[in-house]
Amino acid sequence: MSKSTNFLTIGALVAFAAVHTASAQVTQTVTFQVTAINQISVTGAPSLVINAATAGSAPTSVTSAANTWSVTTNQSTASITASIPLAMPAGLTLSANLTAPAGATSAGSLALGTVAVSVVTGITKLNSAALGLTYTLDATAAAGVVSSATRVVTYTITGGV
Amino acid sequence: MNASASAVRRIWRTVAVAGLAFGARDARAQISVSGNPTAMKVTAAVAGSAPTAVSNALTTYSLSTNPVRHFTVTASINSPMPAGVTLNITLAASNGVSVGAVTLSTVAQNVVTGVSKRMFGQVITYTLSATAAAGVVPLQTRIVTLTQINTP
Repeated sequence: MSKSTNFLTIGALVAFAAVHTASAQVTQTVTFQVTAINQISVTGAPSLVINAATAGSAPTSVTSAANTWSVTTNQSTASITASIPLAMPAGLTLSANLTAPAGATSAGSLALGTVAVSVVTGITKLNSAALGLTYTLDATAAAGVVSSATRVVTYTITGGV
Repeated sequence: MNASASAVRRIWRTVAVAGLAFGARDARAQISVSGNPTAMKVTAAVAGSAPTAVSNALTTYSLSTNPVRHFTVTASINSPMPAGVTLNITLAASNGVSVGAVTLSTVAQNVVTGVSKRMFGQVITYTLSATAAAGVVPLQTRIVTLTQINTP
């Protein structure tokens, strides 16, 4: 092979290598974080009216089950509490019963008062929607006739660890 | 050496030098970025849904030379993301084909293919998402490497 041919071959190889292997790189540094997230929401506008009784028994309790609640937490052992801002009239009891999401525990139907009570505990790193929420209104005969009134029920999620 | 042999030799040299110059064209190939994206933080959620993903589309990249045929751009990160946390990247490509959102991993993946000529100021979009199961993830970084490769 002549020198000229060698020179050509080298040039061609360099060009070929450049076409098929040349590359360039650049980097970016991406900084990220996930903070503690604890969110709860409820749906429904329950209206409860006690207007009947079985003779000889206390007035018949009424329930409202067309309500739901949803939760997202990325922490462990989060809990939900519930309270109302004003005490219920004497002889009336308003209770709430929240269905627990997977792995958590519901306290069942609990009477609501101005002191927050734990209604669901042990909620760990999940998001769950449209869980059951049932209100029950009970009255004694001694409560008498009670005019229409409202109570705002406040649900609070407390993050775990 | 006679005149004919010299002429042939000059021709070969010209061809060879052209080949070297052809290669040098790619040796100058450059990919650049406008900077680092600001920190991305997942901080919120709609109750009942997974944490809300966040995006950053404030940085750009440029390919400042023309390809011999085409360029492909790949992307990778230097170490895996935490469990339940996903970092996606999307590169715009006015003179190529964007693959769309690609989940970054330590294995380089194509993000842009078929780049036919140089392009500047192409938007890079990062999206950070997390599952609730991912838990709280402390502030940390990943180095994203974009590689420009000549392709047939």
